[in-house]
Amino acid sequence: MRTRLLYATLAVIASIWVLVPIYLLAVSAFGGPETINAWPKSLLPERVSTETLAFFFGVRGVWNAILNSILVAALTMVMSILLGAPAGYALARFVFPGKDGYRLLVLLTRAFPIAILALPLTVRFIEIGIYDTPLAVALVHTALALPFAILVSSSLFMGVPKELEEAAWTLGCTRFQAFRKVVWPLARPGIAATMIFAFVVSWNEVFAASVLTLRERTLTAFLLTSLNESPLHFRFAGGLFLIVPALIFIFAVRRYLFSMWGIANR
Amino acid sequence: MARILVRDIKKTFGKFVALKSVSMEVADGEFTVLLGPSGCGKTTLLRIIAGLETADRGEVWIGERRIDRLPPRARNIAMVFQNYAVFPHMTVFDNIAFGLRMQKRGSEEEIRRTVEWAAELVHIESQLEKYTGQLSGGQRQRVAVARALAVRPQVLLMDEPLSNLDALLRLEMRAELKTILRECATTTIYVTHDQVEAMSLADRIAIMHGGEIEQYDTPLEIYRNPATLFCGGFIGSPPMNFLEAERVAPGRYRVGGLELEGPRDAGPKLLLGIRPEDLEPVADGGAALAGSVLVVEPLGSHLLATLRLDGRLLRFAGDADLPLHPGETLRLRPRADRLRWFDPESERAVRS
Repeated sequence: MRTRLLYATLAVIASIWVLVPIYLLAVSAFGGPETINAWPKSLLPERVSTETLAFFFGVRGVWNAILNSILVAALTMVMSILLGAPAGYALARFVFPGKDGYRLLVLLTRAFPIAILALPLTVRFIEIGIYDTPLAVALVHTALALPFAILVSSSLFMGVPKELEEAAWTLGCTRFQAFRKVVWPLARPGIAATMIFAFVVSWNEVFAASVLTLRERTLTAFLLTSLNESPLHFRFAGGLFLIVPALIFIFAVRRYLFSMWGIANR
Repeated sequence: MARILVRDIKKTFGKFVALKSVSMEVADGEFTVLLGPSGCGKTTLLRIIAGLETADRGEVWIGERRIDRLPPRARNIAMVFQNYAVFPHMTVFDNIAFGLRMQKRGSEEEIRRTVEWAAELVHIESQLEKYTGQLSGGQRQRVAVARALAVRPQVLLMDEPLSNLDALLRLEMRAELKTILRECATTTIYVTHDQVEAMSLADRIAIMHGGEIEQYDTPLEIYRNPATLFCGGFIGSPPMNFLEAERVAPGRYRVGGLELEGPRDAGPKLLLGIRPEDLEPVADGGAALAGSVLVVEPLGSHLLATLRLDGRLLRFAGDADLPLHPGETLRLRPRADRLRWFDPESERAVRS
């Protein structure tokens, strides 16, 4: 009973810790310019207006940045699943020399700070002519999202009993047919979750996006560069628009993220 | 339908030798059980025949076709797995139809008829529209059996299909399986570690131990004439008794207080194997094995008693009405025609 109370208290504190800033952000974004500078702050919005948001979307370059963000995130999503799912399948099903080492190596890619890689990447991207394109950013984001895509999809494929696949083989399927008819339908919801997670990783990433683009900014990079010179309510609106999709997506796939952490514990 | 021929199969996993050199032949339409404790290689052998595992060397033939290089789908086999392996995202109907559709066996209409035939055979015809997640373990295993039989395989492979069911259901399914499989007359290899299951189902049993087949014979023959100590101890509940025997003259061996007729050309020390029910109480004062009764188990149909004899335990099965009490001395004599002799070194039977 006492431990339950403790857990409940901690959960409430954690929720407040996360929710209050989001709430204030929302109040400011919907409150119109006056509310932002008003003091003392009221916790309830005195009036609701879309004035600030309208202003935000009216700024030149915002729409382009949003479209870039979506494009980059979509590319990241597709590439990380196309590369990550086969790797995850291999980790789940095959025994090969260096398997544990490979698993570790996958995580190790996260150990290289982007800040160190930024310069060589910029030089290379300029050389091959994809600097300042969504593709360049998406490639880097794919590298960031890939470890998760591999480990989560490997745990998903492990969750599909091997016997189901073997039964399909004995009933006349090739390896590929068995995958398509049996493994894929069972793993699909989780794969969708993995893709959404990759989307969110890309959507939130700011450093690589800032370094690798000049004009074709993603939303995060755009907001970062224009923050200092923009009015306060613009920042609030941008902030809100940044976190809301990420929040919704992560909430939708939270069940599968646990399975990812499950495998990290193993 | 076809015979199965397995020749000189060897399989290692890293340093572990799963199969040493296994050869066996299963006749057309025969029901063979691979029986042995876990780790004896029985499942590995089955999976090699199915093509789910590759042997290090050796050949597998089905009928006149050598199949050990073929993928599972080309071997004309079907398999039933221990954990059923029915597809959870499909209805019972689609599960049973899966193999037929993958192998393009006729029109949808013909497939429907085959599915209904198979479903009726295992008594799940009323569940065809359900998803397998809604079924009990026993029903799922029925689906798995129907799915395997629907493709009319030359060879049916079953890997401990009943071991995930509870005891009562297992008995019921065992009897039913026997009827179903007799009706289909498909050559079948069935893996289990349950000797009662093996005895009740098999035409022939292959007893496996340490990656080798120790004996391959009819259930009764294995029970009566075990080829090795292991076979005698593994088949039968309670298992065969083994008593030390010492040669007193050529062909004469002393066991406890008894002198018995033994094999003529054998070593000075042997083991006498005798089934608990082949021991008979001795009423008169003649020579006998005299042991003190430790435990009496009245089982209704018969009675089991455990005796201590020269520091070793001896199991005796006798008439249910026998007045036996712990602490008493029981004098027993083995039936002369049921004496089995074993070499303690090689652990193999010595024919007398």
